[in-house]
Amino acid sequence: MTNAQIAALVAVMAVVTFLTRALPFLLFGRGGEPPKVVLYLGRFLPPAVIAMLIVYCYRGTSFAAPSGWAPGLIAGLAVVALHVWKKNNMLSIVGGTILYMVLVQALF
Amino acid sequence: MIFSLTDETYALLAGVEPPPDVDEKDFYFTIAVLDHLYWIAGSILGAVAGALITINTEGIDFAMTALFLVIAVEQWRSSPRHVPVYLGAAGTLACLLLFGPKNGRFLIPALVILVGGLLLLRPVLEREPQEEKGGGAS
Repeated sequence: MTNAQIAALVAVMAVVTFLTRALPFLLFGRGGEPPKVVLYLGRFLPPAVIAMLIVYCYRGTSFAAPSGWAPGLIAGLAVVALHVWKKNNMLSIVGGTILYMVLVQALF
Repeated sequence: MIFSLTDETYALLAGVEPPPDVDEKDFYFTIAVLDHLYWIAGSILGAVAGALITINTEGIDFAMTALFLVIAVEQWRSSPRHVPVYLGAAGTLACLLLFGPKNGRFLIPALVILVGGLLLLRPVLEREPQEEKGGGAS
């Protein structure tokens, strides 16, 4: 990649990054209530998007061998169980990640 | 505030309620600033430590999955409506099967389905009396 190409890439990324952040303000203005549809989506879209991101995180799952799905499943269940039980973000995330790393590196 | 919105900040904001005695704009802003500081500090630390540490970090990326799972649990508890979760999971899974995992390209059609689906479900989801604390980042 030439320097010019790199510069062009950075420029495009900068413009897009700025646009995505400025767009809501251009569309809805600064003050006042956003439209009702937007408020509705603001309330119900986040849980749907988090579900989407979880599926995204598991996109590499394969059922060809246990090593393709078991570590993610076990560690995922552990995270959920830990969090339901202790309600401690740090514990759930760090605990689940360490468990996953042990599973991936040592067991499977 | 606009430029401060990163994935992590969004993820946190979607999961927490500001304490009642704190101005919510200050609260959100502080989170965003701290996230940026952690980001910068983490990058520096990582660059320095990465050269020194040689432990096997395979699987450390599961931290992101774990974070999303934790947020999902929190949202599940704070909202009485779970239809969006089912829609999000089913819609994304369908797109993943349809378009394949490569480059995460299934995310765009998935997002279209989620927004479209939610808009279709609007009469249903808004019918019940508005229970507050609906895990939203509004």
